[in-house]
Amino acid sequence: MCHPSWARARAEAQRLEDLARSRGAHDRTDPGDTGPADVEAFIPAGTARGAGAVVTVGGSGG
Amino acid sequence: MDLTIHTSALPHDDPDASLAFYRDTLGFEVRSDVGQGRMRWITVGPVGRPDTSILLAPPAADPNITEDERRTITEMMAKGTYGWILLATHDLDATFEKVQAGDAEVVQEPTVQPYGVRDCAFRDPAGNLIRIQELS
Repeated sequence: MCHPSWARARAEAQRLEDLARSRGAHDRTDPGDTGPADVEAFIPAGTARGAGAVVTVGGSGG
Repeated sequence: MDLTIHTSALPHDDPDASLAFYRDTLGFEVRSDVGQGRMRWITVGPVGRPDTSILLAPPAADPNITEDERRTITEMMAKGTYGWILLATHDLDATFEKVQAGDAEVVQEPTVQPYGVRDCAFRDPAGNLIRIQELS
């Protein structure tokens, strides 16, 4: 007989393991979206674009 | 004003695993190591560059963080969407080889990005994204 809090802890540990595994699989198949954000995509249409208007910095970490 | 960027913090979920990664795989020196168990605060940084450090800290240590928030943070860490940092080196290829040989989780091999930077990326043991870019 398992204490309910142990069952919850075990379920959470399992979920974290699953997430970590899917992280590895995702990184291997699609590393591209972990790079800096596409800054230009966030600039409203009609706004002047170019080297002076866009600063390339690290964006999304996710 | 005379400000420097002194210490950035990244979360760990296994202090010994994170310490081994930053010390043995990245070659950083350990500058301090306080606390015990999962409550460890470990300061590491590049040898010969004492002005910048990374603090490896327990996530959600603030008592004002709710249980739901703590769960979200640990899940985001596991998923790899929480912590990240940008490092830089003059020799990206040699660095990539060394880190890869250290059995780190590779996210991206050295690649020229559309925005002009050449970089590679790894995961640290806690799931933080470690992006390393090449200095010209």
